[in-house]
This record gives sequence, structure tokens and C-alpha cells, in this order.
Amino acid sequence: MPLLELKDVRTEIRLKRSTVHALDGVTLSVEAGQTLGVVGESGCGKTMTAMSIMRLLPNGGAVTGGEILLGGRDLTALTEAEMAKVRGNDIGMIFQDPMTSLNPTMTIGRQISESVRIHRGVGRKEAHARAVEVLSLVGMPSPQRRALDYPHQLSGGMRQRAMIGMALANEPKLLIADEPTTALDVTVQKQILELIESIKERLGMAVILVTHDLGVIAGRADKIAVMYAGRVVETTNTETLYANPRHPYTEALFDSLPERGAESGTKLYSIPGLPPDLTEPPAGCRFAARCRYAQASCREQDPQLTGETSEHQYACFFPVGEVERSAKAVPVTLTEETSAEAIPQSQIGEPLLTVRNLVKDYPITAGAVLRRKIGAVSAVADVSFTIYQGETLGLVGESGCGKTTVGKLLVGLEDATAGEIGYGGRDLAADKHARGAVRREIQLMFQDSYAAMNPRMRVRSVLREPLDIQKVGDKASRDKRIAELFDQVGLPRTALERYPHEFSGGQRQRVGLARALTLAPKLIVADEPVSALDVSIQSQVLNLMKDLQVEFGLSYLFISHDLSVVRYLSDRIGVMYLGKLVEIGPAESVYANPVHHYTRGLLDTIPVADPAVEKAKEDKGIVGELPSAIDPPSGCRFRTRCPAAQSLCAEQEPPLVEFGTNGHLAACHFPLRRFDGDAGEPAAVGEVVLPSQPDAIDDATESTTA
Amino acid sequence: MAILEDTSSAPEPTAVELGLESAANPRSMFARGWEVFAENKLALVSLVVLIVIAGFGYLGPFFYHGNVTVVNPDDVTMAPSAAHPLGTDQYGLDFLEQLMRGTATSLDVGLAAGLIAAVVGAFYGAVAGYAGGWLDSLMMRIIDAFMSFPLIFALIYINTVYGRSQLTLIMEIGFTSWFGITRLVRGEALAIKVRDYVAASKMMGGRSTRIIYKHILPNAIGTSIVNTTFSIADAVFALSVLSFIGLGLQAPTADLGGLLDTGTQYASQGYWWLVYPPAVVIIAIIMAFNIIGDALRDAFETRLQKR
Repeated sequence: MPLLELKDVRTEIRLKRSTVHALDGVTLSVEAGQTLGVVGESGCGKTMTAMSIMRLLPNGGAVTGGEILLGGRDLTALTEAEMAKVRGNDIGMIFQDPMTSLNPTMTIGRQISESVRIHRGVGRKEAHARAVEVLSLVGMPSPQRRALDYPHQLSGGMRQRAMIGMALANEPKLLIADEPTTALDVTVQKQILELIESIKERLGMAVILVTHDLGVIAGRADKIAVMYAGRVVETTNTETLYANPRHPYTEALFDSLPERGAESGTKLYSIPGLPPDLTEPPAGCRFAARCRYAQASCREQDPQLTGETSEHQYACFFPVGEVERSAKAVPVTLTEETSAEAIPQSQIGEPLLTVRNLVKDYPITAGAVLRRKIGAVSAVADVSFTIYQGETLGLVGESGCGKTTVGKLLVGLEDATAGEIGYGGRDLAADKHARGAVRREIQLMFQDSYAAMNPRMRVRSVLREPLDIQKVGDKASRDKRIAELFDQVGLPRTALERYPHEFSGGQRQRVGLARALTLAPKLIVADEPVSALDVSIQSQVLNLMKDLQVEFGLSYLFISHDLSVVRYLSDRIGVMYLGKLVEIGPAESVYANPVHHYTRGLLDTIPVADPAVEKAKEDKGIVGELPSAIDPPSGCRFRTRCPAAQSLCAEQEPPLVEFGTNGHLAACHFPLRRFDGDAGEPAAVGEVVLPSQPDAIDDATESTTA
Repeated sequence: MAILEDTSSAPEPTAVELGLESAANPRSMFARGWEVFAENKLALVSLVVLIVIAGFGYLGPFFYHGNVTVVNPDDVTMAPSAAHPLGTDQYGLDFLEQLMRGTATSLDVGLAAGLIAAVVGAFYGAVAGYAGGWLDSLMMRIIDAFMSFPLIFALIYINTVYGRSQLTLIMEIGFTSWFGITRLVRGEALAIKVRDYVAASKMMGGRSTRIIYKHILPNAIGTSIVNTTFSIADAVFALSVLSFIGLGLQAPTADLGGLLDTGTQYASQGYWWLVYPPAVVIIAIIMAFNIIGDALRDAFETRLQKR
């Protein structure tokens, strides 16, 4: 018998004038020791499922039908007092943002012991001992001391560990993790996911892992439920789902993944439109409006969750994938855009912008009146690179590595401490007048377009602002330009009169791109432009960026923490670590044959949406967390987390040297591979020839530069 | 994927279905704000009360004429009757007519002084908050200096030197009550100037004046409007207090506070009609503005607005 079983669960949220049918007949089950992954776009009912189980629904929300059986007991029939005993005791939960779910005025030790005291009725001392025990279980370094810390004293990863500790304090039978790593860096994400898995095995719990990331779930879940518009549309075991998705929605999600596009060299598929409004869900199949295979009957009848076997079920009349749908099936060409189109390639020309030895320090000051400088955060330290015309340079790294600061320096939002930014024969870092003159030619596309648009302005005024400021043309020509831009980014002209909050995330990002384009720039610095978007919407924006690049011969500096997105869009990739550019080179070369240990680690850490690859990874990846940039490690800044670090790394900073004829550069004393024109198999870490004597260092550097 | 049913029978999805066009017409922020405001029944009642009081003060004299100019020894302190619905005062003047004129005066001074305070306060606060640094410190210390000074002495001095005309009182109340709004708007400006849309405007080459006019002030408007209603109420109250202690408008112009002052002198003799009506109108005006202010605060809170 499964540990948790949801049978036809319906959840409704009553608003003032309407009712949202958040869950409409969700049927799921998890067995002890199993991990169930729940995936889907945002607004599809993933979190609502978790909250319905916990009975932690927002105001006006209630489970109105069905059963939620935990070990045979129906949770929907329990009173609020009985339910309080189930929460924290039988079911533990981890939330997305550990900072907002921890009480900032209590030490984490007390917060954990509070839950122990409530549920176990033990004394203060015993509860504290249990808290320390739990903290060591979740891999918190020096748990005795950490138990006395307040949440703000911990890093993001440690806070999430504390949250997991809280959820596990009473050894629940079921752990619900709602986007547990979305707010964390990739390197920390992997550590947290591994922790959840190891604890699951040790305690024999069942885990429900809710996420939007198909890569996260690939290596961690045994079974997956794909949700769409408040329903489960497909459910089966992980391998089957990735190998043979039957529901068009699942297939479309996979086709939107940037790594698929990068591998096949084709444009990404993007699901048009948005999920339906759940206050009045459509009568037929809920996905019909966005489905590339939809027939007239899909809009009239509602498909039930069925399948050839009970193991693999899907709700679709015309399923895709292996099993033939009907004998009469005829091959037709798709009417809508498909993923068969090749990625457009732009012409790469002369160098457009050259960055040399760029440095940015943020002073740390003390005292209110006489501000004394007591230190500096080294955000960007001696970074050099070139961006060519029509090229996309991707910049990747963990948060805090300085990639956003580089972007801000280029567009002039920050002043450089040292170094030069050469553009059109002038140095933008030193010459403020030059910066004013080229302002039109270098534009920034913000990560959060909503925050970057004045909420009190209509989109027409938002787009006209750059033209007004730069006094381009007269009013009529400005309006004409705005209308053209809206056409180019694929938005209806009627939407110009709307306010920013009336657009969806993807549409807002289009508006953001349109604004960056208004002054016809040569270079657009795009700072995490798709990281807040769902994968299906993300692909629309990426395709659009690519199309516009070819059309206008734009150059992009594409900043992202997501290597697969960067790889899809970029011609070259630069990897940053703690203010340093550690590796830069052609995208495929960096991706397939990395030189620097950090790049290798990032590649191993990033979850790939392929269960076979994910499960084979095991113990690779980067350990630990990013050191402070106030007092960065001496020598090579990555040495504190590097598997190949030697004493030399602490003494000397490795220079950026060539590792290939194709302009592949890296800064490492003990690189993963040697200079190699045709770049063979990367050597494993253990096989690197590590010089033990300082004398051998010169040889090592020489041989790499030779 | 290669084998498909014929898709030609599939209807094209409409823009609304795809979420590209919203089904409802786009509504302005004020229309949505009104919706939230209208849900607060107390605020609607207050709005009606305020309209009635304004109508009473400004339109009343067109429909009702009482004797307010000729001292009439035969009619002194008469209780309400058909001839004088609110009785007469110690000079035999009609009190209903006086109450109408007093209400209009109080509202005039209150609105004018409140608006002066709001405009001056908002600009000062926006400039200080956006400028930051030493200029901000200097501007805010000036405010602190004003606020640490007992204003009543300043008012007595101004009244003695410049007289007690309506204009003087508007100016002195207006220019001594903008400090609160300034502090709030400065706080808003500090938060708004680090937003990405301000950064975007700077990046396009936008100058400070443009950023303050187009970005800081419109986004601080919610705070400003809410506090304008409060400052109007405060100004009505301040005028009443000044009149009550004899520093108000010069006779024969009287405001509600002045009427109340006269009334209380005769309260012990049982002339209730000279005390309660002006007191009730003062309380009603101040309460109505305060409740409307609260409701406006909710209305400008975008999270409470529905699409």
C-alpha cells in the first residue's frame, strides 16, 4: 500500500468575485522510500498539491473533494487540531526561500527544538540536544556552534540545511520539498539535492519533490507526475517519461529545453501562449489551445488519465511517442513552428568592444559622518575580453562572481576602479563624455523587466522614454518606431496602452527587449534575461533574441548562471569565478573540453534533463560555498574549492594563457588538459601531472603555453 | 512525432485563448483603485458626509438667508425656532447662516493649507531622498530644526506681525505642517531610486529632474495623496485650535473653531445650539478625511487591486 495516496483531490480558492479551481481531480501516490517528482509550468497546481496535503492553503482555499490518504488515514477528515499533529510530525516540508521561512529573531537551534518540544513533549535540554543531532545529520559544519546562530548569520545553503533539519527533526514519514533549490546557486543546489536523497535512504522516507526544473528531477525522482492546469496530465517512472513522453505537453516541455537545441543545432520549440485561467477552465482538454496536435474534438471532450499500462498514464486523445496511435495515422507536416528549423547564424565581424584589465572594488565604509574606508569588496578583478560584431559572448558563474558587475560597468551604471573599456577608439572607463556619446549604442536588458519598468507608466511611454531622452525625431516618428518595435518582438500593437503588470513574464521580457532595441544599439548586455521564466516561455525569448541578432547584426553580452542557456545562445563563453575570468573560449570548446577545474565542476553540477546522465554523475561537482570577496583567497581564487589545488596555487596567481588555436584561454596552474589544437578527451582530475616541487612550476606553465 | 493525424481540422487558437490578449479591457490604475476604495463602506459614507458638509457650507447660503450683519438686541441667544433653525448668538445674529459661512471658511483654509503642505512636502522630500548624501542630510536637519521649535510661538509672532487674514493663516498653517509628508516621501524616494527602472532611465541618459518628475513623484503619489487628506484634516483642526485660543481669523470672519469658542463662553447658561453644531461639524470633517485617507492607502496598495 502506498504511504500517501491522493484520490481525485479537488481544491478551490474562493476569491471575492470568482473561484479558482486550483486542483481539479488530482490522483497521485508515493510509496515509502520513493521520490515522486512533480513538474509543470508555474501556475499549474504543483505547489497547490503540496499545500493541499499539508492543509496550508491560502485564504479562502479548501479541499472540496476527494481523499488524501496518509498511511490509510484520510487527512481531509481530520480536525484542525489533529492536522497540526500530522504537520511536522508525520509530514515535513521544505520551502523555496529559507530566509523568509525562518524566524529571524530566533536561533536556528531554538527553531528546531521548538518543533521537537511541541511534537515529542520533551524538555528544553533534550530538545536542544536533538536539534544539534539533526543539524549534524543535515551536514551542518560544527553543529554545536551553528545551533546558536541566527538565520542571517548563515549562508543560503546552510539556511536551507537548517530548514531541512527542522522538517526532519521528528523523523517524518513524508517529506515535501517545494522548489527546495530554486533560490540557491547551482553548486549548492547539487549539495542540497544530494543531502535530501541520502537522508531519504537513511530514514526510509517518501519524498515529494516539486520543481519546474526538468534537470533537477531527472536524477532524483523515481516517479514523475507532470501537471498542467490543476491536473496530472502524465505520470510514469522517470526513465520512461524522459525516453518516451506520451502527452504533447510533456513533449513540448522537453523540446523547449535549451540543451536540446544546442545539441541538435536547431531552434527551440516554444509552447505558444499561457496556461488557461483556472477560474473558468476550458471545457475540453485544457492544453488544447496551446497544443500543436490539437483536433476539433480536443476542445469538446475532456481526456481522462489512461494508458496501455497502469505504469504509464496520460490524459490525451492523440498521444505522441512510441505506441502507434491508430492504424490510419498519416504523416503530415506540422502547421505550427517546430524544432526542425536551424538556429540562425549571424555574421561575426570586427572587434566591437575591448575590455582590458577591468577592476571594480566596492569600498566598505564605517562611521556615519566621516566615512572611513575599512576594506573593499573585490567584485571584478583584472578581467579582459573582447566582444566582436554580431557575436554573443556568454558570461557564466555563480551568484557573486562579478558577472552582473561587468555588465553594469559596460553600460555605465557603475564606474570602473581601474582598467579600460575600449569602444570605437575611445575608453569608456576613463572618458565620461565618451560614455554619454555611446549611451545609445550599448543597452541593457534587465533580469526582471517588471522591476525595470515604471509601474505607473503605460508601455507606450516606457518604450518612448529612451527616444524622448535622446530627443530622437518628432512625436509621430517616435510613435511609429515604437509600433514597429512591438511588431518585431511579436506583441500586438493594442497592448501598447497597457501597464507593465498587465503582461505575463514572457511578454514583459519581450517589452524589455523592445526597449533595449529602441535606440538601435550595437551591443545589448542581457543580464539573466530568462532566468525568471518558465522553460516553455524561456525558449520564446531566446529564439526572439537570436532572430533579432541576425536581423540587426547585434552583439550580445549574455550573462547567466545557467550554462545550458548560455551554450544555446552563445558563440563564445566566458566563465567567471569570484571576480576573475578563469576561462574563455568558443562555446563548444568550453563545453566539451573545459580546461579549468571550475568550469568542469560547473558542467558536472548543472542538472541535465536526462536520467541516465544524471544518475551516472554521482560524486562529481564543486564542493563548499563561494568564499567572501572582501578577503579573497590569495593566488588562484578557486583554490579553496579546487580538487587539484597545490601550495603553488596559494602563492601565485595563474595567468590567462592559450589552450587552443581557436582562442580558448584559461587561468590554471594545473589544467585539465594541455594545449591542444584538436582538443582530445579531457583528462580526469586524478591523472593530471601534478608537480610536487616548486621548481617544476615553470615547466608546467611553459609546457602549457608552448 | 513524425506521424500525425491530419491537423487541418484543428481550429486556430485565438489570441485570447493563448493569453496574448486579455479578455477584459485594460483598466487604469485609478479605476482599479476606486474598486478597492468602494469596498470600504465606511469610506463611502465619509465621502458622502464630506460632500454634504461641503454643500452645506458653499451652497447653503444660496438657499438660506439669515441675519448675520445687523446686531439685533431683541433676538439675542434665542433657542432654535422656525425663524432661526439653529437659534441666534449673543448679538442676535442667525447661527445657521454663521455655521454655513464658518464651515466654508474652515474648508477653504484647510484645503488650501493642506495642499500647500502636500506639494511643498512632496517636492522637498523627493529632492532630498533622490539626491542623498550630504544634501539629503542638510535638508533633513533643517526639518529637524523646524520640528524641534514650538510652533505656537512662531504662529503668535506671525499673527502679530502680519495680521490674521485668511491668506496669512493659510500660509502659516501650510508652511508649518509639511514636515511629516516630507519625511514619508523622502523614505519612498530612497526606496524608489534604487529600483531598476530608475537605473534604466539613467542608463538612457535621463537627467535628475526627469527622474524626479517621471519616476520618483508618480510612484510616491500614493503616499502623497493619502497624507494630503490627513494634512487637510490637520489643517482644519489647527485652524480651529488657533481660533479657539483667540489667534484665528479676524472678526467678522469666523471659522468653526471661532464659533465654538464663542459658544463655549455661553455653555454654562445652557445655550447648547451654540456649542454642539460647530463641534459636530469639526469632528465630522476631521473624521471623514481621516477615514478617506485610510481607504486611499488601501486603494493605492497595488497588491489589493484586482485586474
